[in-house]
Amino acid sequence: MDNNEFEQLSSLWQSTDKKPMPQMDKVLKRHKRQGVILRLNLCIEMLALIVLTYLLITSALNNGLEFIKLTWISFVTVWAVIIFILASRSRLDSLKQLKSQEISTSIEIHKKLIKNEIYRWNLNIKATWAFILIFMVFNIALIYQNGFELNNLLTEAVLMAGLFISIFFFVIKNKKAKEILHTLEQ
Amino acid sequence: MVSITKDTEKEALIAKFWPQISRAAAGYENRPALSDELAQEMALSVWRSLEGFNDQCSLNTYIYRVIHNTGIDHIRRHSKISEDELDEAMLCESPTPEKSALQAQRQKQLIVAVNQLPLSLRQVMLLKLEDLNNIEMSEVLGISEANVGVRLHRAKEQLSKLLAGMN
Repeated sequence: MDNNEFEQLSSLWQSTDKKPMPQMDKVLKRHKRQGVILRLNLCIEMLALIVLTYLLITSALNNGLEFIKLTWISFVTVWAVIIFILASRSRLDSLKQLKSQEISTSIEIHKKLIKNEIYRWNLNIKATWAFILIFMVFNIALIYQNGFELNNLLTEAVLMAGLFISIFFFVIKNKKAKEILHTLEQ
Repeated sequence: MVSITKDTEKEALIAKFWPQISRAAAGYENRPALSDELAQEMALSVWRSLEGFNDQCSLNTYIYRVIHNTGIDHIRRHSKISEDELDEAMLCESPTPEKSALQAQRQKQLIVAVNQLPLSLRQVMLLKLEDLNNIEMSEVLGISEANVGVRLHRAKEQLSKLLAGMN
């Protein structure tokens, strides 16, 4: 492609139809609304976690559950709290980066954000595997103690399928995020 | 320090750079609805970044840097979409009946071809199409002039092939 051909391409590019300019006050308002929604989501998640933990623990204490079930509830509670803390730390770091002025001028910030995202996908994958493993141990223990029940098996099979689909989804998202990081690092 | 803080000044600058912003958005996103969205995000980023502008580089370079980083941010957030994805539908649209139909078709082909370039080549191509020189491009992208030269050469080669394949 010689200079003349490129100049023609350049003028062709610059002569594309002009779009109407957005009203900046509306764009700014929408941006503020998105920020509020993001914080609200974080608060709702935290509240839901506290309420669920409270309900699980109180029902376990009030109903005097057997040792295996109590162990299972303890595991789920600790598991959920740890994941929430680790994921929230990463999300808060991302939020801080998103708020910084440098986001518009530095590619390093984008790399950091994508690394945070990869960390969260990895965390989700490992946490789901851990959940599956403990869930299987819990069920084997229950079968050993109470005997085999077909109804329970069906419910558990559906739950396991859901968990495996989740892992598949996390792996795909993780792979895509890694591809983007690779592109940014080019 | 020459930061721009008045809303009227910011609005005037956005209006001045709006054509470049909307073209850059089309270069990063070839689906019209998302491209409009991205153009608005780019305008918002420029608006928010103007207060942080200082004399380290020219305002022109600074604004282009903001625009292209917002493009990168768009790619990061839409990681589910392959960045090399080609919207064939754009090419299949029937041309307008006016005499500019051929030009409109060529513009669409150019946008699609630019979107098909790998990110590192697409960025230099988008800036070159806006008539920036190699020094300005190196300042916008934070890479050396030599690197800009190499990328530009490759980008031109690939763009020629892509355009030839469309005709």
